[in-house]
Amino acid sequence: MVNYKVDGLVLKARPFGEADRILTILDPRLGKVEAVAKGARRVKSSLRGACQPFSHNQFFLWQGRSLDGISQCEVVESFSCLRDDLPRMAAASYVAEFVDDVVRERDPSPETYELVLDTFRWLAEAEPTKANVTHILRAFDLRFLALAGFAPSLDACAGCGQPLAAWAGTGQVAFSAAAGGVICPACRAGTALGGEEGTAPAGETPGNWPDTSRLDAAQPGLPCRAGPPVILLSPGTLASMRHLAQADSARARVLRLTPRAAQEMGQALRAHITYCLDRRLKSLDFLDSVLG
Amino acid sequence: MAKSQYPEALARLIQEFTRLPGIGPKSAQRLAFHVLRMEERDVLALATALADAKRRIGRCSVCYNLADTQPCHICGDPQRDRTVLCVVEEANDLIAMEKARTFGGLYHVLEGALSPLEGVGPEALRLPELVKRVKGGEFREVILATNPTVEGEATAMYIARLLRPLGVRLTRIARGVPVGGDLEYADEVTLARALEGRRDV
Ligand SMILES: [Zn+2]
Ligand SMILES: [Zn+2]
Repeated sequence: MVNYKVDGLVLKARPFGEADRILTILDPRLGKVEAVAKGARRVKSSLRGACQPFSHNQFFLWQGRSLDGISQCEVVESFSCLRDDLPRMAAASYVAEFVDDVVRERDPSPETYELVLDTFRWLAEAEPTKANVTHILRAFDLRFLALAGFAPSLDACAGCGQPLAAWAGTGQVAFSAAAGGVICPACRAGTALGGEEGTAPAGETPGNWPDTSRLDAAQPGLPCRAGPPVILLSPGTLASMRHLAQADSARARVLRLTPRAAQEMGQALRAHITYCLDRRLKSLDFLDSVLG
Repeated sequence: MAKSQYPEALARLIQEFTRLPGIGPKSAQRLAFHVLRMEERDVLALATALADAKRRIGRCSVCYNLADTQPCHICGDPQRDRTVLCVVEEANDLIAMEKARTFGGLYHVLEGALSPLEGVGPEALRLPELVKRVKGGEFREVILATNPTVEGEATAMYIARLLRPLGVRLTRIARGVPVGGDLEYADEVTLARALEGRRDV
């Protein structure tokens, strides 16, 4: 039996069998690792408390035939406040689901690990107001999309590649999730990319395509086949998005994000992410209901 | 597909057993052979019990406990304290509480817990029913007895948010070192919780 050590963040801990949990752990050197914590749901298990989502632990694993198992676990940073507060918990769930969906097993990405750790720390430190949580998640979205190779095009038309300066005036710029970023008027007119124009009307959840009458787009987990709408971004929003996409965590924190920029980029990124993943993240509904 | 080595009726029985949780093909085969060795009347009693349970057990329309009467035996018991309500995730949690024999109030079974990662949102739980009960009832206290898991904690926090405006006293079951456990072997999170929940002696 080969033993090895995993030092990482628990993204998920789903119940398995009678009393076990299967953990999804993000380790900087190993990438995403799945392992079973036998008996972790029993009251007396020493693994129980440490097998909580979002905690940073050191695990000792044994190699199994189909699934490796956890023999011992030590908490490095418990991040308990990410579980003890609804907005933080909802936000951390969103981060965990997004990362779990994109990162493949045993495909190491130290940068992704650092980003998630940093996002968890930021969530833990900041007052969990709607504005703060939104700011943290948008910074996470943009940096994670870049790491995953899904960065939206923000400097040039996603259709023809013409730099923004060549075609954008001082007004709003169209963002098309189907095209993969901002698009120039010519590309937008020339192709049938993304139907209706519009910042979604108030009360409508962004990320639910308005024109999906057949398919219930609100249903999590279902792929969205209908085209996402084009979203209009004001120049300030675009500047904030570029800043967040390139900033390290210290610089991401000092940005002042206006409510309008937060709202517009939230819509654009949600559409973009849903399009890239071909499904709506399940934790979004909970996040919306908690942030209100 | 290769023809099954088993007679048709036996193959079907094995197939049905594999639908049960935790039963693989090996266990299913063992159970099926066991059934064949049983007395016919015992087999019939088992079959009837299965069908009866499925047909007669439903959810209590008041507390959503599993019940074969409406309301369930707890809601219908005049001896129970109608001013205290204990909220649990599942019917088996209610049964565990009843076995402890220290709680004499009423229950509310949520039929689950919030799990954002699994897409289980507030709409999947018996929450509107809970709010309605607390609004219309004479409860002085609501005890949040969801599990001390992330999902259970989130559910308790969410319910606290919903019920706080109603002015009822809200309490959460204590979390800490389990009875029979050794402090030495308790994990950091549990110990921190146990310290938070300490009381005067
Ligand atoms: Zn173009
Ligand atoms: Zn009842």
